[in-house]
Amino acid sequence: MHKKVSIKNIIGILLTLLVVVSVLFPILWLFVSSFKTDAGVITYPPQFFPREWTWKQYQYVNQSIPVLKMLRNTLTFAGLTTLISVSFDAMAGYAFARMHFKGKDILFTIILLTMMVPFQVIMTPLYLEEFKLGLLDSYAGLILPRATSAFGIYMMKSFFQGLPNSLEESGRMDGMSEFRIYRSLMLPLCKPAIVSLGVFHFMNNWNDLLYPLMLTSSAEMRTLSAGLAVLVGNKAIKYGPTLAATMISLIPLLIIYIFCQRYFVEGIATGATKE
Amino acid sequence: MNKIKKYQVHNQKSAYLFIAPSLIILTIFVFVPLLSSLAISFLNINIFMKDISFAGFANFKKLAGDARVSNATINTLIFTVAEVPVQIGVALLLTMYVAKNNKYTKALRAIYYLPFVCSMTAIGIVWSMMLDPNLGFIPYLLKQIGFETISFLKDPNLALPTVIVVTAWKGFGYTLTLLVAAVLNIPESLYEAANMDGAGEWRKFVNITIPSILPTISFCVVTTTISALQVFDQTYVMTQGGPLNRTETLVQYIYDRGFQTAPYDLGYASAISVYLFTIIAVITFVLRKFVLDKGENANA
Amino acid sequence: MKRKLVAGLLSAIMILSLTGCGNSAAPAATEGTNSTGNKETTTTESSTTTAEGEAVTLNFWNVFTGSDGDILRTIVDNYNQTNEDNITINMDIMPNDTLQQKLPAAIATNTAPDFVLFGVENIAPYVSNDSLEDISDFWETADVDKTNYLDNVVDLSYVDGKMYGSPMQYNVQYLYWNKDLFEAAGLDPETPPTTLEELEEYAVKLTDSSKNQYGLGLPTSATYMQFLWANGGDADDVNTNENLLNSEENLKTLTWLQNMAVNEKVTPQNVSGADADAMLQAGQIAMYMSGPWQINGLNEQGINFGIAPCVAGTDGAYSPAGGCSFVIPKGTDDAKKAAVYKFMKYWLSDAILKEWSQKNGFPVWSKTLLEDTDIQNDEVLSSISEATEIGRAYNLGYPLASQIDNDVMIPLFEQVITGASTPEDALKQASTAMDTVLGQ
Repeated sequence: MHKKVSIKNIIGILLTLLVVVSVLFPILWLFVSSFKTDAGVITYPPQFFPREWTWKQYQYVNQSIPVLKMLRNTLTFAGLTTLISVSFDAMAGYAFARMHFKGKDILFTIILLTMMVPFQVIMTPLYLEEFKLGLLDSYAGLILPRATSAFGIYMMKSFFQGLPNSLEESGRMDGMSEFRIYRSLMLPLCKPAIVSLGVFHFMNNWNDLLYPLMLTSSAEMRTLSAGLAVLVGNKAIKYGPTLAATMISLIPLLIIYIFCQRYFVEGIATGATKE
Repeated sequence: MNKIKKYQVHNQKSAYLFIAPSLIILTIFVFVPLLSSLAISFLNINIFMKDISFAGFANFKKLAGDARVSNATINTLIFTVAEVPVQIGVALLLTMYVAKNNKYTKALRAIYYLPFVCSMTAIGIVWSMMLDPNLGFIPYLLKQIGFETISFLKDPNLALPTVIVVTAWKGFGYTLTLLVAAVLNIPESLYEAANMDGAGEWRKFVNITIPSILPTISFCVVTTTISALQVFDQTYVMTQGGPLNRTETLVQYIYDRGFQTAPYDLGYASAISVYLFTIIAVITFVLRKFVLDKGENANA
Repeated sequence: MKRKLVAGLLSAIMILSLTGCGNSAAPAATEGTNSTGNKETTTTESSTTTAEGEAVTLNFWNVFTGSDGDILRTIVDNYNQTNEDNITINMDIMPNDTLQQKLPAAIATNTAPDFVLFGVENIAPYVSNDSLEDISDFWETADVDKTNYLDNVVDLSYVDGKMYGSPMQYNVQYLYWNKDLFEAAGLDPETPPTTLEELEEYAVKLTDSSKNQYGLGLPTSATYMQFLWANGGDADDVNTNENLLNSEENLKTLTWLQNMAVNEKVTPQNVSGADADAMLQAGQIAMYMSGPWQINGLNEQGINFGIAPCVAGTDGAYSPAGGCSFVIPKGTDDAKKAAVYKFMKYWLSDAILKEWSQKNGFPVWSKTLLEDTDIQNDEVLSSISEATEIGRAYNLGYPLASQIDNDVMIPLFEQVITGASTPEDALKQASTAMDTVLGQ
């Protein structure tokens, strides 16, 4: 590889680095500030780095709420939801992208419509419905409404549309069933898309606050982000623990992100250049 | 002929099986509640759900005369019109530089995705604290280098732009990931002709890259627009709709009427929801008609 | 044909999936069965039948997030371990907004907790929607002496002569002042202002924008009834549904307020309550009006502060009163109600009230406890007792109270304090908005 140092390259490097700084600065600030004392967080003039580093805020969070139990709840909820949702989304997306059937356009439009409904709008009816179905305060009640998503279907449809036609035709020639064509030929090519959709779902469910709080009633079922919200304080905000709590909810996601990252950054390219 | 027809019938049946799980779940957990909301908008009903009576179009008439609804509509539209191009524009611009695979660009892409991993609540808290005019680090830095104290989230004229920038800051990495994936999928052969002509980077980007990834761009435009029209979390955490209702969006106002201000008028909140839903549906339809279809055709 | 087949298939899958989830849902309530019975099954697994003498599990929701929640949790845990009635309380803390979304729906579906602790301002709207149990028999049934508690506190839980809540804490707004900043500005650190004029004079002296230091914190997301009342003004008349905003007194007060906030710049502009709290704790605000919940934070930050009553105007000094009460949602059965009474009684004992006041700095309202020597010697608690006496209820027991606050009063003060409109215009707008709210 030979490099030409042109003005354009320099602009590019500066630009990309500028964005890197703007992204990392707040996250770094969050990280170091979670080690500040209460006074250190709200001192004037503000300090970027703590004057004295302390674990106190983390200890406080750990004492106040059952972090590990909530972590387990969140993992169960977000993990199962992601697995189920990704499978259903991919199947539906595949059908909309590669198959012909009556009412396809109307059905797809209807599915798109569900993307346009803010959760706040259907929150109360959903609560009543879950009560009628006996789903309140259970994992099933948390997972089922999230077991598919219009966004995921839409996204998988876009990916499947990009695959070459020759593949499924060869499958049909071999007399494979539609499901086998999908499962053995098409799906493996979409691994990167599936991983990135999975990460998307996992993060959304992990970070969701209102939804799990609304549909569960016992402290036993609390997820991490909902549990951490309790620390913030109603009348007197506790900034120190709030920052530590934010950091705690972020770390598992960062770990998962680092693991999956290479899939959807590298993998997508190899996935579809088999053309 | 016969064989093809038979295949299509078979194909149809399996197609319905493929979409059945999603369709059933969406019907039960989104459509039924949505239809209930629609029904509720024609009722006099509060969140306690006692003393329910038929309201006819009363809630919608009230909506038409409510200055806060028009204010929230304008805020929501401004937010969308500004946020979507910023988020997608920044992502596209950066795509030019990072859509290749080497260690440096991979690291950059990983970093750009970071804000998207964080919850909006976390981001809202962090930015509010950093931008606080009296205790925050950024206004303090700006003051040190000679600027006036700027209260980003508290100044009625700056609050909405600030919320827009923070939202784009959170979301651009995700858009970028999708765009880069699409760019990396473009066959090298397309560029070869242009290379022979000696076309510059910029011309190649405009003439080859952008048309090739148009379906992905359309996807990003549509989904980002839909979520921008539903903006809530960021204003809820950072501004609570203030100052002077300058950042009050439609979902924020729905939330306020239904759940924050007694008498918790669920009927009225649902009427505003129906109104918002209509706005989103119309905008999405128009976008799909004029942007998405073009994109899909361009790919074909 | 085919269409029918698909439709049949779809509905079959739907039924299957529905029964399927019904089974997997841990303790599923049978659909359609009524009221009290299925409540225990849906809300917790641990609740058992509640015959006399057997174990009772009470589900308890409250909004005590933050540090006072820690103290509440200790008290409840302690009760669970020591009570002799075999009562276990399952406490769930959630943000106030979440509680307001869930509780009405929970009451409507009979999945509500057995008792709830929330702000007294919520009682009236819940009562007007028939969602709380009338507990007027509490004093007699639980054998608690009502006369031992200050009337103005107990009254907060009454609507139309009926009792709906058992008081838990009481608060008014105090004037906090930073003694170190007073001294630095050449003021006597032991003498807080007592009149509106003094408040303004001190605020100006204490403001030093070069140091980012302000004389008086006036957050925009709040109401300042104490100022309106001090000059003899008011917002509305609860009994006659009358709009009282349009008055000379109010205009005078608001003009004074705007001059102080906008021209004399004694307050940081456009701050929320939380921002102002933080600035007070950082020593950037010299004077601030707020409730008892500031005390712990200020102590933790090592601020040298004093607590005084809100200042007086031409009509006297007043301070808006508030509080929290334990309430029982409609539909709680008698056995559980009896158990909740026992806990309410436990809370009203001097030992618990004393613990709560001492740890949190909330005022004492039990007459026997006021005689207690520890309480009398407590520096903070004795300094707030004077400030507590001027408490005045604001829109008490009025279902429209929160709407008046959110739609009329908060916007009014925001307009005035930020200088977005003249006091005349802001008052006119607010008065129109008030008519709309009251006309409902």
